[in-house]
Amino acid sequence: MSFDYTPEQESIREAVQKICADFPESYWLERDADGAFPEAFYRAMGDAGWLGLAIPEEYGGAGLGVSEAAILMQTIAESGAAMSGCSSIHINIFGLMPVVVFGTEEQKKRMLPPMAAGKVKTCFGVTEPNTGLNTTKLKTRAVRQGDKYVVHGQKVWISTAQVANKILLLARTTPLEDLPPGRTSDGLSLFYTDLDRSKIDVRLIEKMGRKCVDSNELFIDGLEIPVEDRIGEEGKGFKYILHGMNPERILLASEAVGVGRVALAKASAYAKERVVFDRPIGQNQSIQHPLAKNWVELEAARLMVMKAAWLYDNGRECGAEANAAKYFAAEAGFRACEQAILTHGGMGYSKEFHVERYLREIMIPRIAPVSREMILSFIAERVLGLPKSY
Amino acid sequence: MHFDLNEEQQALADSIAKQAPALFPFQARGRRGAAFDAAKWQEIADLGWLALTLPESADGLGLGLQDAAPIFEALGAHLALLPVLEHLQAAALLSDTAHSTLLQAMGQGKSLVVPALREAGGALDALPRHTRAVVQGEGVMLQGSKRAVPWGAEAAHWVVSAALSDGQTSLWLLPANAAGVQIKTYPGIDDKRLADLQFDGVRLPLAACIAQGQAAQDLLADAEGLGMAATCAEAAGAMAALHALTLDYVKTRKQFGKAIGSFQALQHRLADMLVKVELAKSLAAVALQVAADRQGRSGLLHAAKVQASQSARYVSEQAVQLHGGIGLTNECQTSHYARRLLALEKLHGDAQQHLGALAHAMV
Repeated sequence: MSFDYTPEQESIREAVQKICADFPESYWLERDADGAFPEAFYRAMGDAGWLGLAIPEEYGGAGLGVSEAAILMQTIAESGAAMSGCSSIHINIFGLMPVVVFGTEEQKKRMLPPMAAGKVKTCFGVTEPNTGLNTTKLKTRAVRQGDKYVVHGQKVWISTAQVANKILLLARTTPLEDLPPGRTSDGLSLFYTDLDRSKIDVRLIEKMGRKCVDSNELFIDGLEIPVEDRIGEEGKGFKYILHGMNPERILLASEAVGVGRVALAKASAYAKERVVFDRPIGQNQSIQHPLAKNWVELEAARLMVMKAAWLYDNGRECGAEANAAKYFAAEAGFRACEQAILTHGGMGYSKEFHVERYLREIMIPRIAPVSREMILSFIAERVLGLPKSY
Repeated sequence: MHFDLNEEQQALADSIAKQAPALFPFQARGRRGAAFDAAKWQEIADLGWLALTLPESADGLGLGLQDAAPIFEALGAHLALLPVLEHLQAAALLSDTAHSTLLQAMGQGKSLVVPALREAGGALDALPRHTRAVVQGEGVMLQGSKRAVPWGAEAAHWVVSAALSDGQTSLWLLPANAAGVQIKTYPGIDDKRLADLQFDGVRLPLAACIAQGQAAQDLLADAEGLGMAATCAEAAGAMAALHALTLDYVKTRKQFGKAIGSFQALQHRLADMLVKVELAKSLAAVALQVAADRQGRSGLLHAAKVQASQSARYVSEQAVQLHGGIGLTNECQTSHYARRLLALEKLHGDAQQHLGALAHAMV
């Protein structure tokens, strides 16, 4: 068992830190105020080749694994970019895995290189209002008409749809009631196509944090998708997107660890400097111990993340570990962010000290891409063998 | 809203606080279960504790349960093992006038009656499911079993709950010497004496029926409410004493050349413990006040027991942790409080069960 990063992983960390140094916390504070997409950061990451980290080399990527992607994301989050930085590139990293695995050669050549280079932006169109995490009940309909599909429906919580040129869309091609019993996860198909704003109304959702990476409601009315933009077989889309879910959870977990670590670093630095009762507040056990506890938790979370990533990269089953890492990292990150504010006292509430932004952003990995409660149900059912509760 | 005791309550609380240390000196008992201390029982009966809340028709003082709070708190604070709660529950079940002679004897400490209600499975409502009463001519035959009856082997009578053939609930006054009863005794984790009762064709006259149907269910709910509230009060007394004990310990125990109580992390822990104690005390006071109110008590009793259970667990665990290894030993009172509080946490439903009941009532 080795707990060291490989030399390659170390160099990823250093190189990414160097790029991130050009985007100091003041940059992210401004984005939090103006809500503008962090274009310069996105471009810098694209130019340096990080957006194609997991895309195979023959399609313009670096062909690296989830372990490296996790290190990338943690490093970005830890630079102070937090979820704003991570979410701006998150989909580039593993979003197009279904294309890599199930796309035709023509599709891979057409779709992957522009994503890897950061020349296009895409968004992930799965979740719908009223469906929540019950993905097989999706209602958005794609009806085949000759050599195209016509789509009607609604999506919600679609990140970066304001700035995306492309959408990876999951839609129903066979009505639920026409499916044979026991095959209810069939009937959904996956498309990667142009986000045609004449047919898709994208409405911004104002939200608590991560203002510069937009979240949206999509109203799709007659979107036409050429058949050649369908990924894999018709009706197998749900299976295809499942393929990307564990990596997504691992990355979110790693991002949460990064946010927690930057919060902890800010809090520790402040506790050393801030003098009350003629000594630094960090000399008080009640300030020290909670921060030490945060470190323990974040370190445990980091190890869980790296283990899940290692399992995935070695082609092993990692559902329980990926989910557990996401659950624990988000909670540990949240507690670190909360403690960072408490350590700062009143200043923690001021935007100038950044930690309040971290707290607003760390709520995201607690909730997305799957809730804490669903993870506990999953582990209870699949790991502990307890009866399904929902 | 006011939180002060009135003059009589204060006087009673003061006198009990004065009497209790001498009444219940701490002995580092083993874990084999303490025998019933009949002399002590008589002593507290003579002090009037047992008749405090009994009706005046039975020579009681007719006071409310909230007036008995200092008694429960003292039992908890001094780790006293006496069936006061069970006595009061039995008195509540026998509250109609037909039993005033027995109640009178109970109040004088001459006759111990305890409820035998719990069965395997431990449902929160304590309704009889396995014990049946089959009417045969002028009498009835009891069949079934009761589990973990506190002081079951020491009582002269039990109040037994049983299901009738038509499914209705019924309550029976059963002399402990009745034929066909098998008693198995064992100590609880808090050293309290418990007994399993097995009924094999136990015969009783119909006149031994205390209540049946809705009336029986109402009485059972009253006894359960009383049990929950008194358990909360006893736990509050025990955890307040444990907190005081722990506070004393951290002031005297030295490490790194100074009292460990001078460390901020431990000071804050003791402050957190105090907050939990106070929360439990306040809700216990409310619980005692509402325990007899059939319409309004339910939510507050659940809330009180949830808080008592959570506070008990927190205060016990922290007290043992702050004591270190010594906190686990029999010589140290801390371990006795921890066991007592664990038993009280489980008695009459733990936090999970009551949270479940509250949730069920809401959604």
